[in-house]
Amino acid sequence: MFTPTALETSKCQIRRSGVQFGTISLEEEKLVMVQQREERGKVTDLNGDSILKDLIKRSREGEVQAIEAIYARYNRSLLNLVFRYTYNREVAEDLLQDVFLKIFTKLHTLKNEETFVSWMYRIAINTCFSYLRGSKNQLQRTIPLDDVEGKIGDEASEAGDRIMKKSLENAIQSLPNKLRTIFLLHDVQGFKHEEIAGILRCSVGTSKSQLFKARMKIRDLLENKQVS
Amino acid sequence: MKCSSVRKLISDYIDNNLDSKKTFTVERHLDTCPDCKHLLEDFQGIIKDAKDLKEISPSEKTWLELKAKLESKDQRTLELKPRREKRFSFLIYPPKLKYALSSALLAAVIVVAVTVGLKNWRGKNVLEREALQKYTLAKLNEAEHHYQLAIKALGEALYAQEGNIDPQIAKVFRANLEIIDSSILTCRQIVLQEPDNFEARNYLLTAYRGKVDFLNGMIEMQKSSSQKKELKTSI
Repeated sequence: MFTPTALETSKCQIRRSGVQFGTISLEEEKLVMVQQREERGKVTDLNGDSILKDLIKRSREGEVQAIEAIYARYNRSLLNLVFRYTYNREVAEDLLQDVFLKIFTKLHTLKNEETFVSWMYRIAINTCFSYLRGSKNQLQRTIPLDDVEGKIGDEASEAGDRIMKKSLENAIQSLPNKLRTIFLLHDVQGFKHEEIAGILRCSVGTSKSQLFKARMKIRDLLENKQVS
Repeated sequence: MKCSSVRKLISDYIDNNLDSKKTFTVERHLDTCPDCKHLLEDFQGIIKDAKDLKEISPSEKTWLELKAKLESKDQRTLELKPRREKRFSFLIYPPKLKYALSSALLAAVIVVAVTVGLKNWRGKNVLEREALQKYTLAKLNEAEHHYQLAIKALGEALYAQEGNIDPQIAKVFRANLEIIDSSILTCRQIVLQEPDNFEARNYLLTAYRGKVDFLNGMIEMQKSSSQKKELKTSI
């Protein structure tokens, strides 16, 4: 039986030996997902996370292994965040690269390592906003979710469930950027309001009221079938 | 409690962020208000589906490209290096401190060399001294010549890259170099007056050695400083 840590190690070994990720079983993949979801609740709290502090310190010194470890730790959650601003897998991966490039090249400017995770997510969100402001995006935003469906749909789930999830994805895509950010951080990524306030540099009250608005908007979108 | 008041609390109610009194009030309202109850169920459904959205993973290509970008010359902010290549901690001292240290180190080396030299010299008898004297003088001449050549080459290399150094550091560098040069000058004057004076010779050689080390260190620092400069411009 794999423990998540052992699994991550084995994934690294697999990666180093040049074998594709596809060789990892679905069960192993789920374990990683569970571990990452569990981590979400404590992601912005570095108290006691001496491993991450050490990784940050070593990454600042340019150590490749430490950089790779930080990347391995956050790549999935950041990609899933970025993806729901673009709804284009290829663009999302490009943005993810930009985000990590900024993180690692600006790591020396981070004064307080306790705020590393908030800082990292802020970079990701700002990168997405910059992208969305770009002219190219006007075309890419209208990309239908057909390509998304295959990736987000769970083969084991029922057809109705798939439609609901696809509708939810459509609703998220239709949300204004600020509401989308709060919804993604709280309901999808699992951050607490206090953590969101730290990431977005807003008050906890703002985070709460924006989340209510986001949920209401999604409800309206789903109920009124404004999304296909 | 009115519907508008309950709706303000409903997100906190779902997230279990309400105290028991407010929780009770909200629940009492929900029991009697189908609209708010409906809202609660819808929110709970949205939250459940949001948590269950399928996650995607980045491809291996993304990491490889990122790594290549970090390693590329355009991203000089970060010099990727394997763990084993970690340098000694004293190298991360600020440049000024580093060169102040090098001056102090040089002075210490001179003092030690002279003390040791004097001790050895006084310990020998007259015959031994004469034989040793000839041999040592020849070796000292040879060494002196090599040091002079090395200093000349290093000096040329250093001045060829002039301009890459931070003006403040250059100032400290010049001050330190003046101290070393003045030591060399004093030693040379004594050597010229008394060519057989081993103590003076030892002084001189140590001063030369110190200058070589200092220039080497300066060139090293110049390289890293020019890399940082390129990096700043790339940002």
